[in-house]
Amino acid sequence: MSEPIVLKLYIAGMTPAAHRAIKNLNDICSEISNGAEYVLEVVDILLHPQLAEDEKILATPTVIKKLPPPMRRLIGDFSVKSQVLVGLDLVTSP
Amino acid sequence: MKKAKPQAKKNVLDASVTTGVDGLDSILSGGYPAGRSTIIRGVSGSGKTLFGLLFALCEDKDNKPAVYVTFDESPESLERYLKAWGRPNALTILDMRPDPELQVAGNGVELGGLLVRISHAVAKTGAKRLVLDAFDTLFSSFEDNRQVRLDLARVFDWCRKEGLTVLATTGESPDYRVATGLMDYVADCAIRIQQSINNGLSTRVLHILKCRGRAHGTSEYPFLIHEQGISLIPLSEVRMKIATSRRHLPTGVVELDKMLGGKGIWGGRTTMISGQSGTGKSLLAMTIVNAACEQGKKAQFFTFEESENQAIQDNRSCGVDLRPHLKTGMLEIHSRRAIECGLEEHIIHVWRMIIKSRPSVVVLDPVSSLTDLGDMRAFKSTVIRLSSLLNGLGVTLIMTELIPDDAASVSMLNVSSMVDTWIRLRREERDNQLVREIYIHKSRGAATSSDIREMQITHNGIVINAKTGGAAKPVRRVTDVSVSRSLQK
Repeated sequence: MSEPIVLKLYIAGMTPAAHRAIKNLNDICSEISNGAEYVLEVVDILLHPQLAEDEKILATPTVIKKLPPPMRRLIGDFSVKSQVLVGLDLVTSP
Repeated sequence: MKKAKPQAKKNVLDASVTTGVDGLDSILSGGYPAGRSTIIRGVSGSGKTLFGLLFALCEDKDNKPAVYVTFDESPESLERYLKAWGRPNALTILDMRPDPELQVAGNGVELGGLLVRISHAVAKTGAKRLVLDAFDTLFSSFEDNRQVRLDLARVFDWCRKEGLTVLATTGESPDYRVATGLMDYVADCAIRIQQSINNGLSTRVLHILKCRGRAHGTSEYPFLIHEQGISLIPLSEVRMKIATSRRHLPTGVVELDKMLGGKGIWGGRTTMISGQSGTGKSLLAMTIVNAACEQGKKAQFFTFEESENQAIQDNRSCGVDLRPHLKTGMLEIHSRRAIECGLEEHIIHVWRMIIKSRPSVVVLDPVSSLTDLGDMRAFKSTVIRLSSLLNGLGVTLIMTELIPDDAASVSMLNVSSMVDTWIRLRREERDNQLVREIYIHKSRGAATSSDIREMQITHNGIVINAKTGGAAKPVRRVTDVSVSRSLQK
């Protein structure tokens, strides 16, 4: 992969689902980026409510794929890998 | 021992926040319960969003804007309403419309942004009022309804703790049963809006399902949505200053004034003019209005039969020229055919015009044409309400009633109890001629004449003969044509 993956994850406090979401996204990213760098930024909206407003976050956890384009949004704890790959439009290397 | 701080013992049950809807405040004994939640539910298109906006736009004691959360309508279209009302950017609008294309991967979804964003906006603006418009959308957009209910309940709980007054609206979707559980738990006041169709005319009605801890109206109340907002029947009292006196109002016909005890009809009270078709009801009403205008009294003439031009022309050919008064604005003629809309809409229209122009004389011509538009009970209670409101404001109300030819001069409205003065007109056949007659059926607290007089419609207006030859005292109650005919001989 030439382009780094940049994800922004919005959670509302460290709930069990938030924990799972961070772990699952990390697992999936490290797998598909083949050891290359990726960015997973975690935003706790309890601490940064204005960011939730700016991005119109309603459901949590929500992940927004900033790069590579196209921009994608997905909600859940990302426990189903195939759904995450399709939902975020992340192509795995063959 | 120290006493509790005064702000800790405020009586939330009694306090109200105005609804912004004409008439709803009085039905709710003041308004939406302050510091509590009210839920309005109704089918789509019933005006829920409008209730939300009107509440949100109300003037706040502290002049804080309300926070308006929309789950359904776009902020742009809401802003368009605000602009149309001359209140752009008056509200803090939170766009919480669920994204229909949002995909789910796995589970554990919560509506974490809901409370976070609301509390953030409230903290930022200092709002005391919150609108949650179409929150039921969440139930159809997120699979886990239990979780949605939980998250919504959290919002309502938080609002209660913070003392926010909340208005939440919801549709009547199939998911409603789910929402109901929520509603019983969170709402202190619940209102239902329905649309009903009577005689082919659609009417919106609202009904207070509950309002904890206070008395409230229990009927179905018709309401009307118009360009300025919402008006409700029963019409609510308004404070308005009208320069009227309780003195008599000369009718413009000297002989009629004499019959009425010398000075005319009662000012600030209600007069009914009843008669069959062609007996001169409208003309008499307009004659009185004309006289009022000439004395510098502002008048509004509502006709449910004629156009304005017809009314002007007809009266002019009978010697009553209204044009000068129309020109100076002393007289307004409002024409709206009876069949154009439902009874409620007519009455609300009349009421709004009255509030706008503040006349001291109002004519409804003929009020009987409105009876076809609803049931008789609704009609009577509406007219009684209107007349008592107007009289309370010192406005003189004149209504005309068309009596069908076959009714043998019996009033169909049976309105005796609601009028102070009742003038009856009729046609008689005499010597192969139709003769118009007039008599005073009643006039509260006035020494009225019991004569039956002949009335002529001439090119110079209404002329009442000083004394009809045969129809002299003692007056017998005239019930049919044969009796009155025998009086002539």
